[in-house]
Amino acid sequence: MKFAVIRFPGSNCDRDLYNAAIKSGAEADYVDYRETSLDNYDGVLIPGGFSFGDYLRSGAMASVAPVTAAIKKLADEGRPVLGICNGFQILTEIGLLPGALIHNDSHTFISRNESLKIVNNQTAFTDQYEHNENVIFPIAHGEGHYYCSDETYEILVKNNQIVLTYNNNPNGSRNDIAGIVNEAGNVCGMMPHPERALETLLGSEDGYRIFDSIAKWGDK
Amino acid sequence: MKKIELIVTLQEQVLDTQGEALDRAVAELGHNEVSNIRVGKVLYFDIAENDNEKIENIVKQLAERLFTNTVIETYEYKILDRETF
Repeated sequence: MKFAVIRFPGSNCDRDLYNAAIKSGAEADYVDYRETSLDNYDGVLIPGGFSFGDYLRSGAMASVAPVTAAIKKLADEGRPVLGICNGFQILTEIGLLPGALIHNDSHTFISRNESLKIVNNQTAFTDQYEHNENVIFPIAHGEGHYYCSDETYEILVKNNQIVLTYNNNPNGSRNDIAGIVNEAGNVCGMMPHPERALETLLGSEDGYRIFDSIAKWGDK
Repeated sequence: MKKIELIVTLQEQVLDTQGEALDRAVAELGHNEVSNIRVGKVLYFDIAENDNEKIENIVKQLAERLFTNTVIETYEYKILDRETF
């Protein structure tokens, strides 16, 4: 597996994501947002940060960047796309995932270790976790409140697209949603940072299995 | 050439945390008669077209593609009489 770690101006978790991919035995390259082809890659990792300074809305400017069409093409081909934090915001802005991320209810930026539950271990991102396993991933966001319409929520439930929920909802997200997948199951977005949870020494290694899972995507 | 005023606001049912904070701030200022503040944004831009139908198509297309997120926001616009500021 070879991953493209997309770099937008203002991305700041790109090195963590690159490190996570390498640590799990995959290959990875940093790919500039002006690239128009991802044909040499098996998957895409969209890092957190503040792409384009969050101008207009989080992820809005990234949604029209040159690389976006290539990300959509790769997603349509069924290859894995994982967007974390700002990456999740970007995936909703480009329409690969439903809903939107709005300001935390408190309107404060929240940075802390968060207790989460893997509510769906039937995805190719979470198949190494137990059902309803509790994990600790850091969160660091000001706009992480997952919003969607009643209709969208029903679809998410019906298709088992909700992957990760907060045990102590920090931001007002609908039904504690912290991460979802698309209907096909190959595009995943989450606000928490599993790429910052790879070492017990640094607080948690609970995130590692996500990257180990997608590194083995080709074998699935 | 026409100047456009595009007003973007959060949809009614979407929580506006900035508006809530301002509600509390104006109450602190003693204005208890003021409530339900909603914060939006306004974009001004010029379009090098004079045909209103073409202008409306361009504005709607850009509003829905980039300027707003129609999952959470709504917009309205005016074609201003003056050509430019």
